[in-house]
Amino acid sequence: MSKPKDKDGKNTGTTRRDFLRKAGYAGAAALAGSATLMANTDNPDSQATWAEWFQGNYRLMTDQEKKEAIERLEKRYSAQYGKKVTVDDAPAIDGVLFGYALNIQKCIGCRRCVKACVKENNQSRTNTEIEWIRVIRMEKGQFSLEDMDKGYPAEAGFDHGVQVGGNAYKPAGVVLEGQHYYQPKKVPEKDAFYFPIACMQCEKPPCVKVCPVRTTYRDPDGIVVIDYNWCIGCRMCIGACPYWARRFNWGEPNLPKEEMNPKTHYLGNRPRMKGVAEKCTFCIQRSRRGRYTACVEVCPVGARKFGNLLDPESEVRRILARKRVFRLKADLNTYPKFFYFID
Amino acid sequence: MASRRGFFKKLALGGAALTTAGATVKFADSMMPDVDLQAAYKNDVEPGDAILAQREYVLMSKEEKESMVQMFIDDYEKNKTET
Repeated sequence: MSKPKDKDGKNTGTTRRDFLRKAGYAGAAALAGSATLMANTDNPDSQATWAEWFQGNYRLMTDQEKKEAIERLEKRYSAQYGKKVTVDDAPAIDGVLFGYALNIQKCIGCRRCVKACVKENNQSRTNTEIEWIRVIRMEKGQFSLEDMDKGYPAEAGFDHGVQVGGNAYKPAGVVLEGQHYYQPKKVPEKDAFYFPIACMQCEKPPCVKVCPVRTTYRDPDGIVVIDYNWCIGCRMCIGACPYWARRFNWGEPNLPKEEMNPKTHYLGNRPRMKGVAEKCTFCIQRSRRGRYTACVEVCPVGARKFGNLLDPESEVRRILARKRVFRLKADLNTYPKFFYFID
Repeated sequence: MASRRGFFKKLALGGAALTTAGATVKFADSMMPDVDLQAAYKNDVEPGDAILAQREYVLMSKEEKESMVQMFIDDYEKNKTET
């Protein structure tokens, strides 16, 4: 092909062949450069294969693609952590909708659930130290029967006016600001109660609605999951969650080899990467295999209950039927499947 | 027409140029002050503590609980038939 010429017969520009040739050089050089930079680094991204970088959304993968993706991950994680790592892909169990109930009267604030969750779910240990469960310490309110009729109006009269004085200026319930970083010598502390918070696994989850790439979605068993490979780190879900339950990997997660839990699930506790969101999945790697979550197992006072909301005989349904129950931010109509109850 | 020697020369030069550019970017990145990752994490999480702790919690009535459970069951059945 000859080069384009002007009316005097002089060459005026680049031919398509030249352009493509130069583009080819640049591409090859870029590949070589990238390979040089990524080779022999500790960065886990450098261990990822091309296939992993370009794999599709988990929900849209065929069974064969899922199998290949899982094999790739198992191979990479096993090499990276020096132990046999399995990546489960167990789907939702038919006829199961998970629900969770927490006895707020029983919780002693020991935070064993937090530590067990970190260990089970391969959360980053240091810089950033990520925890999916937060336990907020709150001061107990005061309500004195003696002060009922004190202040003004002195007695409950015909006007039923607003009380001034008496109990009116006391924190009669949950009104004080919670503290997360409490460091008592002993728990439970006098005059305090504890309020653990994690992902509520909403029936109508706002985080799912805002995800621009549909990497987070609600599975049929009610668990809201994340395909970490497809997450673009836009943090829309973090902004949308009214429970502050999602966490973001600001840096490369720090997971020591010896502490890594090798039994993982693709949508759950497999090691995450920098720049992706994560959250509680009701220990999907356990619950979909018929086991309790780590926090339920470890709770020393049995404050945590977990079960199938479709089964009228399950613990969680019995609690809903018999106990005094409340939900966080019920007014938002997110229909959380995480309930708090009082005996 | 470009010779084979010319091709290899361009390839080597291009590769070297890109590697140098990449290395420079990487070096510049390493010279940037470290971001306090833990502080960034806390900024994400801590505002929720105060807000969630200050809310008023209302016990659910028996009817509310029953209708909620029924909604869960209906939703489950609906999703099952759709898929």
